[in-house]
Amino acid sequence: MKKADKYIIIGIFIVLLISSLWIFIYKGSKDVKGSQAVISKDGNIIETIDLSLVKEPYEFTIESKNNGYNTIYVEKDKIKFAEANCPDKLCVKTGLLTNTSDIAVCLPHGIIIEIKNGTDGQIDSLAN
Amino acid sequence: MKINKYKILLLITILPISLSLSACHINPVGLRRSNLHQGPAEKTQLMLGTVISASAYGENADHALDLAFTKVDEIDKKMSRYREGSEVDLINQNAGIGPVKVSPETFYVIERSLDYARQTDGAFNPLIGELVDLWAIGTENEKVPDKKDIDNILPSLDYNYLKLNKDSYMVELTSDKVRLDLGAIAKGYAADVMRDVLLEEGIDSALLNLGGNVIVIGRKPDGNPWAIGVQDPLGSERGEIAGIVNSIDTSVVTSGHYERFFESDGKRYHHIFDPFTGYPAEKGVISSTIICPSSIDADALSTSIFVLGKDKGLELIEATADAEAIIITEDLLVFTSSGINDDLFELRNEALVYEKSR
Repeated sequence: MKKADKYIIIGIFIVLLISSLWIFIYKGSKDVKGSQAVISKDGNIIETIDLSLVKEPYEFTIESKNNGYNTIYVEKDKIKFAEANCPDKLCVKTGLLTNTSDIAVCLPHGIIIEIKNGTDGQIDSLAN
Repeated sequence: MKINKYKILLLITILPISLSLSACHINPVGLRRSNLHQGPAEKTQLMLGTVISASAYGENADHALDLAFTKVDEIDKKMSRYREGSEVDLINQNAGIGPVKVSPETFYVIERSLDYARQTDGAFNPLIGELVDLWAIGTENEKVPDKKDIDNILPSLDYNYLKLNKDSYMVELTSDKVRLDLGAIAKGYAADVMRDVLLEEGIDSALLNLGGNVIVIGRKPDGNPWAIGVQDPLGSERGEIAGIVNSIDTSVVTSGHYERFFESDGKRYHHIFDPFTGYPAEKGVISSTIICPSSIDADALSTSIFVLGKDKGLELIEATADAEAIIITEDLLVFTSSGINDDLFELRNEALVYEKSR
């Protein structure tokens, strides 16, 4: 094999690598278009979850001052406050969030779950 | 010969790279980036006992939103009944004692409350505070109160106990049993103030949501009206919608029996009270949506319709300039005021039907 042929083989290999990488990035970016749940505490974003990428349902707990806690339940395209030890439990009563610009809030613990870039996108905001 | 092979190699390598680079301009990565660049300024905060979220477009948008939220914080400090030392708190502490001088802002909101109380023969009632506390809906103490406790409070819900002096900005509650509560109207007022601040700062496209009270400036950046969903009163999930209001430079406020409620012995007790009975309003309305330029009006009117019922409610709307209403009753009929057409409101839930005479 000539030296130049080697370069050609290496060249083709690089091309393949770049194109497969490009496809990977392209596809990956497409998935980011799903609805995102942005969770904030006292005005600071503490967690961003791409709900469209959730495979198995799961729960996690956010702790706040004075032994406060909120358990958050996540499944594909949905999220909710599952449990909390705040006095009014309004966050839990809000139920599942699914659509664009939907929001659930725990005032006593200062926690907000907001849905952004929802896939259904038929409304910009909700009057309720 | 050798050089030619290098050229081929170079071509094979560069061609896909340049292709993929140019493709970036049309792929979603590129689009999202450019959208983000020109996207809205956004801000979400907990104020007025609820969550306020805002997005505004324009170079000055971040600064304008900061100013708007600062104004809401001032309103909260003056008008919250639950903040010790607020102007409303001072009025309540001096109930039956004497008048209190307040800021022109607070005076304006109280004055508008009294206007609506008069206009609705007391169906809208800014003195409902004691009753709200007795039921405590939305708190851990929520319960159906004893009938005699309710009956004790009813006489103190007469809006004639509220005296205003516009020249001196003095407000007085003339009985020690009366408590002022601007909760039914303060969010609407705050929405109007936020909009005015953004307009002064040159913002021509914005969306504000104050705990479910929506107000929009202009159109969306793509030229379409803002699509504001009306919560489906029957929906088991938040965000399910009864329909869509196509909104330009207006406020959309919905009151519903689903907002804050509890159930006891299979009966639902929601948070909008009938000041004549002392119980949650039972006039057959389960959702009332008001579309009008002023959010303080929309806020007061949507509450009033719950207490007045659909017939008197629609009469009130027709008598109010620039206001339109969409009322859903417990038998799943949709009643609309004369200015509602299919362009303004799209009904999206098949379980709901327009009443026949429409």
